[in-house]
Amino acid sequence: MSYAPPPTPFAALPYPVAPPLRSAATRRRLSPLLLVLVAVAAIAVVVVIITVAASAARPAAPTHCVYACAPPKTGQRLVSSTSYNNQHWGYTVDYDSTVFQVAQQDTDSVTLGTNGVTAAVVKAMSATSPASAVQATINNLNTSVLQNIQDKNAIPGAEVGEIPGAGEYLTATLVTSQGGTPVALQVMAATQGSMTIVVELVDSPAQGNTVSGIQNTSLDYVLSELIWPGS
Amino acid sequence: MSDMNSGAQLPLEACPHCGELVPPGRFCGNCGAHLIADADAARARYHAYAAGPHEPVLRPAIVTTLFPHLPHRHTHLFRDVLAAGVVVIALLCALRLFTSATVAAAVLLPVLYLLYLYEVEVYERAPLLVVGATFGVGAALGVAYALVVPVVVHPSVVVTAGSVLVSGVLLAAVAQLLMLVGPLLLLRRVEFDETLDGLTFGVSSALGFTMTVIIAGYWHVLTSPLSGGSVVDVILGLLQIGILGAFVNAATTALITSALWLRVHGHDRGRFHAAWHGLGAAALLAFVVQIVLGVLQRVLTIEVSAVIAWAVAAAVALVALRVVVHHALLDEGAERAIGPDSVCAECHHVVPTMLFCPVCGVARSAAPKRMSAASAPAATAEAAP
Repeated sequence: MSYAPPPTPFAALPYPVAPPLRSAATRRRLSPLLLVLVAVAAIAVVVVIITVAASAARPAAPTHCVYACAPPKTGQRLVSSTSYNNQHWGYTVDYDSTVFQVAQQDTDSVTLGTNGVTAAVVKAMSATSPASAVQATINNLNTSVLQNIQDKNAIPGAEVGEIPGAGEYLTATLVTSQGGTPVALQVMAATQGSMTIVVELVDSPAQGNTVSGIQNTSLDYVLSELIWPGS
Repeated sequence: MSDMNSGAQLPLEACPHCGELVPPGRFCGNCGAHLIADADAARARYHAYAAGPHEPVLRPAIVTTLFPHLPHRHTHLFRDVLAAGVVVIALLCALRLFTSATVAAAVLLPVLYLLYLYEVEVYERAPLLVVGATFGVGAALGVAYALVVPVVVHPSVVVTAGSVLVSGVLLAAVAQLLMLVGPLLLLRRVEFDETLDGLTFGVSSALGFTMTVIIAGYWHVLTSPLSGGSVVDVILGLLQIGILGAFVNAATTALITSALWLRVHGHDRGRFHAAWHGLGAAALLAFVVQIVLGVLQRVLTIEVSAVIAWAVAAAVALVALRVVVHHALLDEGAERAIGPDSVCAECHHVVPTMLFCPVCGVARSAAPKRMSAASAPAATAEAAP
C-alpha cells in the first residue's frame, strides 16, 4: 500500500490539455460563488424556519404564578430550614432540620440522614452531561446497603434546583440492622455552567413502584430548593 | 479491435494486465491498471483511487468518497463549505443559539448533497424520482423512526443488558434497514445500473434519514424552554450526531448499496472477485459498525470519548466503502471500448473515451453524468465485439 509509482511527465503523453471552456468537463452547472450562496441561503432558510417554529411551539410563560414558580428568594425559606453551604463549589442545600441531619460531608458532597439512614446525597462535579452523571452515580451505588436494585424508568422533566436535567427512578431494598426495607431511589442530575450536581434521594416506594413523584415532601424540598452558585 | 477514431492514430500498446491493445498512457484505458508500476501493485492500483486517482484508496477522505462524481478541481469547494459549516455550528453554540445550531448541524450535509446531485446530474432525466425515492423516502422514514421509537422503547439512562440489546442492537439494525428502503426502490431501474448510482442513492437516503431523525427526535428539546448547559458538551454532541453520525450513516448505507448494485446489475468482469469486499462482507461490516456504535451510545458516558468513537467508525466505514467502490469500478463496464476523443473531467486531457482515462486513471463512470451521457453512445458504437 505504500508503493509510490514513478511520476511520468504528462508532456510525454500524446494528449493535449483541453483549453478552458472547451467542453462540459471544464464547466460547472453552478459557479463557485453561486454554489456557496445557494448553500448558505438554503441552510439559513431552513434554520430560520425551524427555529421560528420551535420557538413558537415553546410553552408561553405563565401570566400568573403556577406550581412551577420558584418561591421568593428572600426571607427564611422554611420555618425550620437549615442551610448547608458547600465552600468548594458554592452550592447551597436547604433542608428541614427537624427531619434531616448532615451525616457526612466532604469537598464535593453532603449526605443528609434521618434516624441513622441515608436519605439524600448531593454531590457536585465538573460539568458533564446529566445522563452521564446519573449513570455514573447509579453504577456507584452502595450495593452492600442497597440490594435488589431495579431500574424502573427515566424521570420525565427531572430538575435539580429548577435546572432541567436527567433522572432515573429505581427501586431497591435498603438493608439496615433492622432488616430489609423496600425503598425508591431517585437519582437526578443537572448541569449549569462548569458544574454538574447529582442528587440521590432514598424515598418511600410509590404504590406499584411506578414513577409518581417524590413521596417525602422534605426530600422534594431538598431537591427543588437547592441553590446553584450565583443564583 | 475497432479503432476507427483518434485512438487509431496513436500507437497501441498491449496492457500486461488485461492483454488488450490500448492507447499509450500511465493507466490502461480498458482495465485501469497502472502501466508504469511494477506488476504486483499496478493491477489493483491502491495508490490511485478509481474515482479520484489523486488519492490512495485507503484514505478516509470524505468528499471524494461520498461525492464521487465531483471532478478533482471542484472538490475543494464542497470541502471548504463543509468545514465552514462546522465552524458556524460551533459559533452558534458559543452564542448559546442551541436550536439554530442543532438545525444547522442536521441540514448542513443534506443541503450540500442536494447541490451535488444537481451539479453532477446523477439523476439524469428523472430528478424528482431519484431525489424523492432516496432523500424523500429516507427523510419520511426518519420522521417515523424518531416518533415511533420513544413510544415503543421505554427511555432509560440506566445501562442494562436489555436496554443495550434493544437500544444498541435492535434499533441500530432497524435504522440501517430503513435507510436502505429508498435506494431499493430504484434497484431494478436499468438507467441507474452503475455502482456509483448505488453509492449516491445510499448516501442520499441516509442523509435524508439522519436529518429528520435529528430534527424530529430532538424536537422536544428544541421546543423546551432555554436552559443552561455546557457549550462544549453541546458542540461535541452536535459534532457526534449531526456531522460524524451523518458520515457513518452515509458510508454504511452506501457500502451496502454499492455492493448490491454491482451484484444485481452484473457489470463486473470477474477480475476482482473476492469475498472480503463482496456484498456479504459489506453488509456485515455496515451492520457491525452501526451496532457497535449503538452499544457504545449506551455505555459511553463521556462526550469526548463518544466523538472519538464516532470519528473512528466514520473513518473505518469510509475506507471500507472506498475499497468496495474501487474494486467495483475496476471491474465494471464492457470490455475494450475505444471511443472518440473527449475531455477527461478529472485531468482535462483530451483522451480517447475509454473506461479509464489513460492519463490520470479515473474511471469514466465517476465523471459527472452529463459527460458520461455525452460520451457513452460513441463509446458503445466503437466497442469491440
